[in-house]
Amino acid sequence: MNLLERIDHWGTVSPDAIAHVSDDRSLTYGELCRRSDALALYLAERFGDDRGPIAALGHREPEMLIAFLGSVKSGRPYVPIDTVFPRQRIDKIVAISRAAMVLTPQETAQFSATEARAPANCLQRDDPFYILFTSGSTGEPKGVVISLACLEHFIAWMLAEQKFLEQGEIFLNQAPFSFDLSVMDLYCSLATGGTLFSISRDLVANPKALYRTLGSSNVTTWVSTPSFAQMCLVEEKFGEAMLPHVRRFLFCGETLAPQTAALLLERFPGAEVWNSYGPTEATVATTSVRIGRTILEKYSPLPVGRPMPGTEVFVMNERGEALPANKRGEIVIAGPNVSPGYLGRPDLTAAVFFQHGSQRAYRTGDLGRFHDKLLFFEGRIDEQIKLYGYRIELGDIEANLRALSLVRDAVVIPVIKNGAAQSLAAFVVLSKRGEESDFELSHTLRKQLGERLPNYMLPRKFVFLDAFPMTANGKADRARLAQSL
Amino acid sequence: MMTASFSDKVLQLLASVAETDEVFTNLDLPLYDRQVLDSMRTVELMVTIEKELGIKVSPAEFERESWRTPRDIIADLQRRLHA
Repeated sequence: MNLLERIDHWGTVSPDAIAHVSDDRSLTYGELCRRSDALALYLAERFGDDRGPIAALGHREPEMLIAFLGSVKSGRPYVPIDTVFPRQRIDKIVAISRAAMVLTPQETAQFSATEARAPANCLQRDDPFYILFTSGSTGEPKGVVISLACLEHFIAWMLAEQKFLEQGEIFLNQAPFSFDLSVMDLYCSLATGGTLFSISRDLVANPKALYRTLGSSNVTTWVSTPSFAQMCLVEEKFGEAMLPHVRRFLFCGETLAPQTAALLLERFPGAEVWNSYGPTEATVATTSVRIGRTILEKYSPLPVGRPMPGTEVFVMNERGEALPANKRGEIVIAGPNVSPGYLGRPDLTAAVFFQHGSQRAYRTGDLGRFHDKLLFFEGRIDEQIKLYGYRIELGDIEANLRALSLVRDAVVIPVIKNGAAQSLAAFVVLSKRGEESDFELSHTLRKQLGERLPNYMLPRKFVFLDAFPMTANGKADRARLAQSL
Repeated sequence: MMTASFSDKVLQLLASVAETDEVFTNLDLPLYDRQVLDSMRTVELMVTIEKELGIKVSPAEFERESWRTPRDIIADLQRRLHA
């Protein structure tokens, strides 16, 4: 059975089982499968041989799952776009992806269950399954294409490693669907007949309601960024009594601090804590390791794990030579989980993807080393950063800042606390200065930039300068700017 | 009556977490509306307040309305201090 047949299987044998819960709404497997069939048949009829992607624009609505499955059942990949993105960014993603259609939850809701079934095997293994947009260094988002084969390889590994109970798991969904960490909870859940329990952004903004909701969620498998768990841990009651069914915490997307792992093991003595690592270009995660007492005592920072079976991970130097253990270099991933490339951008694809023997390989731009056969992540080669798990190219923010009429030039620098980026600071040379205070001006720039970029990419702090300090070769001196923070 | 030193201390902590001095000059600054605070900053501020002032604010019982402005935060902490 391919992944889609597996999901459909639950719709047939357990049509009343709950596939998704979000706010006060829920969706059964029967509805998910039959309504996505109706959507797939509509798309096939309307677009025929045009297999262009379908954009699914929404937040955590159950219709998002129907839109995803309806697209792929019709043989078309989907592009998940969260409504927290500003209109300009959404328009850009829709334009770059050349989406044949943009489906909102309201539109998807019109497709009710029909008797007619869509074939679950329309998509071939090498066909694109989803296209996920990430920040691009020039200010244009770029679409990472993930094929059915990539996704199946990743899910098969997760299922074999975690041994999820069939029809017995409730997965926490914290990451937006536009962030590939959500692929981990979404498809592990759907493949095993589990329930996906979504936390909406309104809940995150309201801690009281958030803890109440978590407490009634019955979550068994927690999937989130380490930042989110760290935030939850500030509440002392966040522990086994609040979430008595949690058996495992799965983390990806950013560095897991040893303190966070230690506190979780203490508060949830019956649960396992897993760390994992991988870029979107290699389908969510490629390495993993269970963080138990022994590893906690032995390593700080924590390892990100061992490679998944069938995939090779190695570290190479600037000349492209593989390095031995304990040597630091660029992390390279080669295997069936590696993406075919960036949508419509053979130039960007050729720059970082290559053939390694019989496998497709990706140069991550991440620095790391192997030690005791475990991979350790040690930062970035370029100016990409992770903030609360979101992947951000500083050049993307700078390009969008420069596009504002008030701004002549801009440099964006992460504010680092305890070894991790905590926020962004923008150094700005204005094209003209009016009467406003720095605070008012910061507010205006943040608001204008907010029309172009998602919230998590907005600098918190703005520093206004007449000119940037320069390096010997005439570039803005980022190191000196960072020191001034 | 709140003492000047107590409110100054609270404002200092708020300014350091929020990374803006605006909170000193505008006690009615709408912190969430103006994106000076968000969820992450709020819990960071709770941790800082507990460490520096010994006042415990439980996230599970927290509502944004009670910390809408710097003035609200000072009043709320003052209440908790004498509770």
